[in-house]
Amino acid sequence: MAVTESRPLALPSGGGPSGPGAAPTLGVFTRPRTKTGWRSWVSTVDHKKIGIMYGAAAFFFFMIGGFEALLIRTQLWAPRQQILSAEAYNQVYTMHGTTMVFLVVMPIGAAFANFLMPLQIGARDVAFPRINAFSFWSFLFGGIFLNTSWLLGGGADGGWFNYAPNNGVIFSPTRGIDFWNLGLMITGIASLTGAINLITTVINMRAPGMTLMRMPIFTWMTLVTQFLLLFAIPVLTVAQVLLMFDRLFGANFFDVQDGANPLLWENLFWVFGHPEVYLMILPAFGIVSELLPVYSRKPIFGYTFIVFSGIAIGFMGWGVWAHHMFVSGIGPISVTVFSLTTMFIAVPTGVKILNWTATMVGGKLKFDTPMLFSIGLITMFTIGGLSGVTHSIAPADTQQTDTYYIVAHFHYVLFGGAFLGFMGGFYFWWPKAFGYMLNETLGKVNFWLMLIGFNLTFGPMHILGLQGMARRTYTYDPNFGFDLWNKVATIGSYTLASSVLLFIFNIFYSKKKAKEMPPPGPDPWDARTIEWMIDSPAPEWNFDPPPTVTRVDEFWYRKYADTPDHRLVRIAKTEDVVQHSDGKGVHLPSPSYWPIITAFGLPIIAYGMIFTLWLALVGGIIVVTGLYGWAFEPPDDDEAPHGDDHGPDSETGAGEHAELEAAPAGDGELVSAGGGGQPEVETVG
Amino acid sequence: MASTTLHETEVDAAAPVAHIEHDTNTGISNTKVAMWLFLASDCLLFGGLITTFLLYKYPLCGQGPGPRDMICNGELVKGVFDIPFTSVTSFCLLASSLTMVLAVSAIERGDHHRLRIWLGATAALGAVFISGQVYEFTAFYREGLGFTTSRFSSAFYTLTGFHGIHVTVGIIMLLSMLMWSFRGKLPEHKSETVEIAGLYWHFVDVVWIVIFAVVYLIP
Amino acid sequence: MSTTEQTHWEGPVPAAALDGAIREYPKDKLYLLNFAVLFAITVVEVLTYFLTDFPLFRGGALVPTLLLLAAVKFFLVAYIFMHLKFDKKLLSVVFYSGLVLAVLIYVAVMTMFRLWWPGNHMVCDSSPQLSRSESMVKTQTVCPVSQLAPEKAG
Ligand code: HEM
Ligand SMILES: [Cu+2]
Repeated sequence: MAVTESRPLALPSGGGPSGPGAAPTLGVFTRPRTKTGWRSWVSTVDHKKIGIMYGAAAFFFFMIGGFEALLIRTQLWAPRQQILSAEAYNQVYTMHGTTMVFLVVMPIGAAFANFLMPLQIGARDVAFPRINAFSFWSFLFGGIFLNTSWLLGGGADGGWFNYAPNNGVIFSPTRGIDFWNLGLMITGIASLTGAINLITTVINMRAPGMTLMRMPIFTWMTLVTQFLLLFAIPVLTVAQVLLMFDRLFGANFFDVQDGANPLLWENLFWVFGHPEVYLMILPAFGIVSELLPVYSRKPIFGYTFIVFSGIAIGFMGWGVWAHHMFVSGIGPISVTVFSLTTMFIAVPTGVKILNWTATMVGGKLKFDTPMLFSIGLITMFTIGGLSGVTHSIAPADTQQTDTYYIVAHFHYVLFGGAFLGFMGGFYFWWPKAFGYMLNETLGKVNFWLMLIGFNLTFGPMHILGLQGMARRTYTYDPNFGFDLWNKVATIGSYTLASSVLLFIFNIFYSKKKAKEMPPPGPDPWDARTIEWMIDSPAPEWNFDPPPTVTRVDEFWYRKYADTPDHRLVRIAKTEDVVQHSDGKGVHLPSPSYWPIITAFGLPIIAYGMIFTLWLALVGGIIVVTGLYGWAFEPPDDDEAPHGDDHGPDSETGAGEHAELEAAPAGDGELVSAGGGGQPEVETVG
Repeated sequence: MASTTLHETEVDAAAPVAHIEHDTNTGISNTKVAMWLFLASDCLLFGGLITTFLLYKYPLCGQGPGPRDMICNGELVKGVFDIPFTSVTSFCLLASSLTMVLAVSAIERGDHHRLRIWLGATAALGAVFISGQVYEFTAFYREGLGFTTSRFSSAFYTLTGFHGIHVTVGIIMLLSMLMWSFRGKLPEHKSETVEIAGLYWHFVDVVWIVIFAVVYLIP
Repeated sequence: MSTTEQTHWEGPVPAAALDGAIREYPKDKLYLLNFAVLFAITVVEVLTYFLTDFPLFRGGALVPTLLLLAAVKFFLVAYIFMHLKFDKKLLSVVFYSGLVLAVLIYVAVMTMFRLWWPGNHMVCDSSPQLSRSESMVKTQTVCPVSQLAPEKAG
């Protein structure tokens, strides 16, 4: 916390602290006050800590999912292998897909959104810090719950989309799909509450002057992503509720014998599923849109286009779901319609790729690791996007669907797109989160190893797929001619795994080395957005005072100005425009144990639903107790940020902040401030 | 730290200022934005359940009764719906929207007495509705319509049950507010709490408006 | 919902605290009027059940009539009772975007299930043919009485 017990709070109402000893006991808990140690993490409501925990948890699940992937690839190394039985294989690929989608890519997106978005808009925290903590814990517990199915009778085995009627008890009598179903409902609660929270934050808590069209692109993409979540999650929830009633209570939603239509599941799943794939990619799009300008030393090309194409993707993503169902008998009209809409959705995606390329054209490119990953994203995603367009042609897709060609497609978009972007983001924002830089040399090796491993793994799958190798089949025959490319893919997968290990090594290696090196300072990359104006690691209170924003790339234009002949002139030393605040008088939301307690009840309820309803009752009591304790905990100022003399949102405060700031803030001042030093001239474009 | 927070909150709150409106970029409080976002997302939840119901509106022959009378393999099967009865309970829910909005208007004027009356009335009307639903479910059950009887029964109970849960949660919210009000913890400047709970309540009502027409009245 | 931790509140509130509240919100009269309209529409809705011969309540006109009435009721509650009329536009945008999205998507889903056409076995299986795109095997015939009425049988 920014405010320690010994320091008086500056509050308009004049309320003073009552001394350190006076912590009131609330029910059984003392209000948590530690700032270090595990307690501080368990009770934190700080969006940065929560973001880091999202990232760490997602990376942990990434290890699990990666291990499952290696199992798959090992099994497919040679024909007719028996390393995994057919049943085990079904579970492994199902859990692999589920883990990667719901417990890795989505939460890493959430990690970046949580950590970065409030910083980028200059907010003190998210709108509802405790709900934020609750979202994280529900995600974590939901994910753990899902994975405990391995120990309790086996994982789900119907593919990550668990099509009906395969998902019914008749075809999948183990508990696996129940775990899948309930676990994803829990992470769904996390996503939904998170979405509401983050959207409210963007809508309501921007720094003075930060209009929507001045927001960094990553923040924009977060906004679109969270809207997609907001509307997609309930659709999945409906499908899962129906499935739960079918499996646990004998309802008749997907049972063909009782006149049910399995296509109901497929429709509901993909109405959720396609927006889902876009909400997995958009955060990564946002990340590269931040990285490219920094390493090209040029503003993003066509800010408005990037923003609006992101929004357009968000909209159009709702109108294409049935392209996943071309062969399920939806009829010629539906196929035609969805084929066309799918072709159109490639347009806004193409716009983005054009914009990124144009951003680099003529820039002063610097090929640091984050930049390499960004370029990796652009190229790999383009390949994936193109194979996507080939699926949109329904007759072609009838050949491709359920083959390895599809597997190649979605790995190029998800790994080559989303994950490479995240890697770039990790390298880029690492100092802002942890206060030290990741080693560049290792980073570059990391990138090339990952890129090569990735292409070796998934490139050959295009060929295998077109040769007719079926997806989700545990082995193949020697005379099919699949041997060679499967061997290549397996070698690639181990290469990929080693690149991930190298990344982890880099984290620890760099941390050790960092002790001997000077701290990175607020702005190690000469970056553009306002999160680089504050110390690294970001102080708990973020900004103090909040910056007044006058344009896109505010921070950059406090350092540089464009001359009329399009040259870049340094107008202020970085050190003069960053802030080193001590957070005096900043009022922060207090930590709380209730979010984790409430979230903890959810998996208990879920175990109860599966094994014995009594346990569900216990879980229910935990949740209700948690909510009760939560409601009666002093509200702090979670919901109504007031009593803060640096209120980030007070409109009237804008002028006053400008005066307060040590560094020149207004445009006019900026220019004059440049007179102090020798202007450093750089040529751009 | 915690202690300081607690105290200053109290002191601060004792000088009520309706400044929530000015603290955010949009002038709308965070809680209100959040509630509307939630309601928007709930539209997709109920939409999915209604779609499911429409798809499974009629049971297969030999799988118990349907919503209305139907002819099955030449024989008449009596429907379970009792439209007049449901109309009355639906009317209660509709009326509860009026009392809810009167409660909001009362607290905005600082009329705590009326606030309590209207909150109580709203909760009571909601309770009537829920009792009606419980009665309806038991009646249907006695006519041979269990949850697992047919695709129709599963879809019907799930949809209306989900709505019923929403109403129940709403009633709990109303009763909590009533309690706070009696304890003096619901002053005028917190009127937005009532208003936001009201939003939820009205939403539950509009969902029922749709369900009543689409599920019950359309044959 | 925020729980109020307001234990010391007493006495009158400064008028500033209420600004907006009193000015911006309409008189209860409007609410009552709104309710009267809602009530009237509900009565009409219920009448469709009893007056099956009234032209608007008959045959193909019934469903559109009911949907329209429900939509009007929905709108009136949202617009007046939920204060969308008086609140900032943003809230309407948020809510209606969710609503419109839901309607569009689910109508599309229902269309894909051919819910609007008689003869679809999911609704009323009076036609003996299997529709081409449905892979399900149809076993029984079931149809509500009203849909077997003579004017529709053709
Ligand atoms: C250029 C835009 C895109 C187009 C035109 C496109 C098209 C398609 C089509 C038609 C399919 C269905 C293939 C089949 O199952 O037969 C498909 C599958 C898939 N797409 Fe895309 N896609 C695009 C972008 C993306 C993105 C951005 C992602 C994720 C980040 C993604 C993830 C997936 C996944 C996961 C599947 C496989 C689902 C499954 O069957 O398990 N796609 N894509
Ligand atoms: Cu798709």
